[in-house]
Parts: sequence; structure tokens; C-alpha cells
Amino acid sequence: MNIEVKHISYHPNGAGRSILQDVCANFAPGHLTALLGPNGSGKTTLLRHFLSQLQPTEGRIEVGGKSPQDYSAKELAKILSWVPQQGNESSAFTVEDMVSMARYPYKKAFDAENEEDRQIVAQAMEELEVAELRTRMFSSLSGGERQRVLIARALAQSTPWVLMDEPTSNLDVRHQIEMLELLRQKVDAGRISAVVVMHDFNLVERYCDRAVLLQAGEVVSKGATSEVLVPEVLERVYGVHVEVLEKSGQRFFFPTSKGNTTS
Amino acid sequence: MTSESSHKLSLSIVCGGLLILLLAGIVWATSVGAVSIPFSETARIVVSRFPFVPKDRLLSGIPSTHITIILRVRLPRVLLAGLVGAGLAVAGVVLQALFRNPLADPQVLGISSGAACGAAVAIVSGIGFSVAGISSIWLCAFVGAILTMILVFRVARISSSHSATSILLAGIACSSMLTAAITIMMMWKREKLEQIYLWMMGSFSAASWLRVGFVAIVLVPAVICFMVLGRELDLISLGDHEARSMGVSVKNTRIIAVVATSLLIAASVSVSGIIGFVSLIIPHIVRLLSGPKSRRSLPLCLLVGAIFMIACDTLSRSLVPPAEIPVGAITQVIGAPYFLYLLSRARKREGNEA
Repeated sequence: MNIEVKHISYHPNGAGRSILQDVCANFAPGHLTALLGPNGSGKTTLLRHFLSQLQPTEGRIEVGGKSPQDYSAKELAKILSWVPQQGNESSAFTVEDMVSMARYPYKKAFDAENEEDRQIVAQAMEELEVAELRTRMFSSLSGGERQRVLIARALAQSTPWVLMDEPTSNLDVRHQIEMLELLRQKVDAGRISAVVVMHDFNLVERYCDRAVLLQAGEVVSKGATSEVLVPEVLERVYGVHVEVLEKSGQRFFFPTSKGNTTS
Repeated sequence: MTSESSHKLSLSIVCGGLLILLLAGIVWATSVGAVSIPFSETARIVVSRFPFVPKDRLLSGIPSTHITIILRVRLPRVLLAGLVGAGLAVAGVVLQALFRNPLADPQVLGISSGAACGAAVAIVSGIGFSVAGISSIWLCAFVGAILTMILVFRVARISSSHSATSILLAGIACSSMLTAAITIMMMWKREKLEQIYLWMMGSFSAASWLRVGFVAIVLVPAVICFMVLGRELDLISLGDHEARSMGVSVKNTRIIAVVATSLLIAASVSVSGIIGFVSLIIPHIVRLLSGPKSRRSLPLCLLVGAIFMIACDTLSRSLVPPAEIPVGAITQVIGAPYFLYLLSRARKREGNEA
């Protein structure tokens, strides 16, 4: 099931500057796609269009050939799951309750949780190492723990597409790597496809096979990761100096601030 | 899995216990009053109203004045207090989830002030009609609450994603505007000042079977609606976008829940006046027991709200007889310090965890 973005523009309230400007992109299944761009370049806004939280002012989004608005909320939730930047920090629900909520689209009003739901929820909690936290209140967790709970919840939603908004921003190094490896493994196994907002070029280079680079609401480049992560382009878009080292066939990026070049 | 089922078991045990307490409380509260009627006599009179019981045998030897006092005066009053308490508590749970704000209650939304303003208009204008037992004050209070609710939601655009905060702000603004209008009316017709003030402090002294029926007819479908929407309310309490991404039709759920809650509050406030703190404090106390899931906290709130209000109303009419202390004053005198205690305890717990 493809997600196609066809020439969409988005101006809130029909006036002012546009947050997205004539964005075109095709997200094909079977990939782990990085969504790149400086703060305020429209990455989150683009994802929110997929989720039908926003409607484009111009252009059209198609999820499996249909506009997200043409799906019922439950139908769309069986196709796309979402990891927000941060959840409701004051939520008094336990970790297990939070992850179990992902089963909502599969339930009628008074359906109880069945064995399949429990297994899916338990597996997602194991995979993100939050199973030991299952009885803890969400509000009592650290930022990184919360983020892992939200990722586990998205996986428990059992959707072909997972959209993640900076899922690694609060994770420690080990959890960053393990989460992305888990994601890569699930994508390679054909279980999910993912669009992930990320900032770390090295993680993108290592784990993502596709990338879309946004700047001020416009697509600068898109395609295979190696074609998008071009030092000259990144320097222009991010306003930094980017140095690249190659070691055993892999590229390593060292962004430094402009004018403060190390050589 | 076992923990979930044992939770369910303990919840139903707690509910059962509270139900017994509620029934005993109704009979006890009905026996208390200026004319003291023994508990056993009261119980027999109350039970005699149930279908399929030997009515004559139960009532033999009880003076007919007692029967009249119980059935015409006290029982409707106690039941009305219970229904209003239950309604306000349940409304509090739903409002706090919908607006993701632990302080959301009928007063903050302006609905209470709307009812009070309607009542004040009826009192000041002196339109003292009463059609089929419906007094002008009652009717105007209900209409005032509904009109205020419509105004607040029109201003705040109920369906927009920013509605949570803007509804609260619109409610606070409307509330202070209406309170000012009430003050002006009180100054304008000073001879009605006391009557308006007493209405605003809340009382069940005007209870009648008609009022009991009216609140019950609104309460029952509202509670059923909230129970059906329990999961949606839980998800919405996390955030509209999150709820939507997990498949909740947030807009529809919000509209249904807000309309049902507003009708429930309007009905409750119009028969009793403004009774503060119940919507705020009962949900907070109950959630300590039940956890945050709506489907667990709603039934408990229903029972605890009813018990609490019956107790407060009984105090209001028996502390300084023959005078009555406004029940709204009693709920606040008991509720506010207890709420402060809960807050300080929560602070301490947080401190220990950090």
C-alpha cells in the first residue's frame, strides 16, 4: 500500500506563509524512509497530513489510492500508526494500559481483550524493553522510557505503516541503536514500512534506505539515502559545515558550525 | 491476566458494598428530621413502595402522618440529592477526560452560572408561574444553563482541535459575565437578594417526585452513553491527535459526550442550585481507588457522588434545625479541605518518587 503525496501545499487559515509548498513524494512499502530537514521545515506537518489531522490547502494525499479523510478513523488506524514527539506527560494510565490502547481499532464497544491482543501487547512491550515497567504510571517514567512506550504502542497497533516523529530524540545510545535495528529488521521481514523523522545523519545513513529532505516546506531532494545525504546539500540546507569520513565502506558525518571549521 | 480479573472482582465487591451503603444511607437520611421517625419504620415505608410486597402488612401500625412525611417530603428530597450528587460526580469524570484538565467542572464551563442567571431572571422578574409542578425558577435555570452551554461552545468551536483550552477559557469568561449580571440584578431588586443568594448556594428543599423523575430521565441515558464511550474518553484524555491516530472519531465522540454532560449538568443544577466541589472532588477521590479508566471510575463515582450528596444534604437540614444550611456550603466546607489534603499527599508522594 503506497502513500502518495501529490503537489500538496498547506497554508494555515488560508493566509500567511505556507508551511508546505508543492510537496511531492511517493512512499513505497518495504522501506525505512527518513524524513529530514531543519526545525520548522514541515516534517511533522507532512506526517500530520497522512494521519488526516490536517487537510492540504492544495494537492492531494493518497493512502492506498484513497484520501486519508475517506477512511473512517478506525480504518485509517489499521493502516497507519503514529509515534508522537511526546505523549501526554500527565497521563495516569499504566504502561500496559497505554500499550493496550493500540488495540482499540480492532474492538467493538464492549469487546474484551482477547488472547491475541494480549500476546501482541506483551510482544511489543518486550521488544521495546518496557515489559518490566508494565505497572508503572506513564507520568512517572523518564522521557526515554515514555518514548519507548509510545513506540511499543505503535507496534501493537499492528499496522503496515508506522509514522514516527523524532522517535530517538530522548533515547540513550543503546536504545537508539536497538530501536532502529528492530525497525530495520521488521522492515526487512516485510512486516512494516516506516517513515521516521530523524536528525542524526549517521543513524539515517546506517539504518534508512530512503530519505526525503525538506527545507522551508519544499522538497530539496528525495531518493536513496546515499543520494540525499550529500554534504554540499546538507551544508546549504542546515547552514552547517559537514565533513565526511569514510571507514570500511561506510560514511561518517561530522557537522560543525560554519566558520568554525576543523581541518 | 489474573491481575486484571482480580481487579474486576475487587471493583464489583467495592461497588456492591457502596450500593448497600447507599441503600442504608437513603433509609437513614429519610428517618432523620424534625419529626423523628424510627429507622425500622422508615425502612418499612420505603420498602412498601417496591412492587410485589405486602403493602398493608408492612404499613400496619404506622401513623399516616409519618407515611406522608416520608413519601411526600423526605424520600423525594433524599433521592433527588442522590441523583444530583451522582450526576455531578459523573459529569466531572467526563469533563476532566474531555478537556484533559483536572480542574474542569460545571462552574468552570459557565453552565452553573448560566443556570443561576436564569433562576435570578425568574426571581427578579417575579414571573411566579408554575405549570404542572414545574416552577418558573426551575425552568428558567434549565434554559439558562442550556443557552450558556450553546454560547460557550459556539465561541470555542467545539469541534476544533484546540477546543480543550478554548472551551475552558470561554467558559470562565461567560461565567464571570453572568455572575456580574446576577450581582446587578441582586442590587437592582434588593428585596430578592436573599432568595437569589440562597438559590445560588444550592438546596434540595424544593424537592418533588417530578424533579426526581426529571433528573433520573436525564441521568440514566447519560450514564449509559458515558459507559459506551468509556474507551474513547480514555483515549481522548491522552490528546485528540493521539486518540485519532488510534482510531477514535474524536469529533463525534466529543460532541456526543459534551452534549450529554451539559444536559446532565443543566438538569442537576436547575433543580438544586449551584453545589460546588462535587464534580471536582469525587472523581479525584474515586480515581485513587479505581485508577484512571473511565469504565471503572464511572460506576464508583455514581455511587460515591450519591452517598456524599445525601450525607451533605442530611447535615444541611439537621445541623441547626429548623434552619437549613445551604448544601453547597456544606459540600465546600467538607470538600475543599479534603481536596487540599489529597493534593498535599500527592505532592509528598511525587517528592518521594523523584
